[in-house]
Amino acid sequence: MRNKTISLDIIGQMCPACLLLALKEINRNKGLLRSGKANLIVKTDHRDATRTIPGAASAMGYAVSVAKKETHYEIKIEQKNEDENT
Amino acid sequence: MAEQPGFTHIVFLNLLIGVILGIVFHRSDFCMAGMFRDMFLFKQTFMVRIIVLQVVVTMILFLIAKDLRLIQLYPPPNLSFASSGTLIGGVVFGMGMVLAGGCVIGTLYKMGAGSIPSVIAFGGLIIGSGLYAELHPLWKHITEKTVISRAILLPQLPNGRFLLPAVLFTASLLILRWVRLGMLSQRSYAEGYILHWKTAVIVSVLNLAVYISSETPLAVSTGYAKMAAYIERLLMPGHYEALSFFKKASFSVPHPAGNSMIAGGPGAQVDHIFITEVTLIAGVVLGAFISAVSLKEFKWKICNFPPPRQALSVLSGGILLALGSRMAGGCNVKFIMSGLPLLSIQALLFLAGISAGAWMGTHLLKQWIIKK
Repeated sequence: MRNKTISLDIIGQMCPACLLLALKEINRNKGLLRSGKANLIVKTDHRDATRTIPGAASAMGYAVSVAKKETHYEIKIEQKNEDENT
Repeated sequence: MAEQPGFTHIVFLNLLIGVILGIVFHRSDFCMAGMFRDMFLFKQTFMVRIIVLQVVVTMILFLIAKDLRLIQLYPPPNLSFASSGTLIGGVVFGMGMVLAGGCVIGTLYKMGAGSIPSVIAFGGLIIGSGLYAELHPLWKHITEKTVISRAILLPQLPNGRFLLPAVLFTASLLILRWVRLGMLSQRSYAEGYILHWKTAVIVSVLNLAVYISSETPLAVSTGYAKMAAYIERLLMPGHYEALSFFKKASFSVPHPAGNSMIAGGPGAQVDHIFITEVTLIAGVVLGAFISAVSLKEFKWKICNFPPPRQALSVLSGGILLALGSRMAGGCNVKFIMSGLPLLSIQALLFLAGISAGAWMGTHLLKQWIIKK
């Protein structure tokens, strides 16, 4: 099955909306994320969210990567790749 | 008054220190409101360890400076007697801090970096400072009737002399353990991130510089009251003149240029609070602005408005921050960053209040403000 991308846009929201909503979204899509059928992309303009969200998600066993885009940081959360498949 | 020699030096020094603070706070996103909130919300204690580190480093620096006689006034004149006002003010402040998404200095660096919620919170802080002026006569009466101790610092109490070394020793052991376990650093992916512990040490050093140069350690919240005073004098000069709060002098210190004394208070005049706190506020906003622009992150923020519920939260949070700090006679900067390292009784009581308030604020936030 192809990977589906779930997007969560929390640009402009006050603290601690970032981590709170990101965790909610992770838990709501737990099944999809864990099975590798989907990944979650969180868009935020908060610098601290690039510490707290990756910290919490990696503690839960997910693979996390962060990229700086034109208007925000993009945090990608997905199931860790055990067997190499594209 | 402003032209007197010595004044300009202090103004420039505080502006410079403010700019550096603004830059490092923004780079680290060093949020003390977040520390209390995330402790209750997510059981995250990373920032607690960072603040403990900062308090201990400041404690050591202040002790050395006192020993070398670099500090003239110990305890500093901007610390006072603890009373029920300190505790209640702390509770109000703690709640405000969480609802505003930043403390009195967090709001400044976030605003400088273009955060609209923090601009709203800043407006709340000015409004709240003006509101407090109306309550001041009543509150002053309550505060004076409920002073719990005539000592300012814990070590001034009978048999209190061993307290500072004991706290220092225990906390140092704790910090060494955290260093060994790597618990003082966390990875952040933000561009230009400065590790939190580095910012904590930089703030401690700057705090010492402020203390040595101006006789009082780092503080900011009376600066907000002074800005409110200028605005109120402009808009309602008659009413301004009638308010006793703006006439009071909170303390006086030796003049930097000579042997006269200079007062500091919330009124609309150039005094010690103006050349230290107001200047520092301007510096922090400017520093964070420079930092955000250089990372090309300022324009991200400036066009993003929070949802209405959050806007209301940060506005009321700002008002509570100002009310709480005036009720307690100081904010988290004066009490936690500067007072705790001296083991000020006021600071300890404020800390108890702020923790309770932040806990309540966190619940309000979870129940009412952040909704998906």
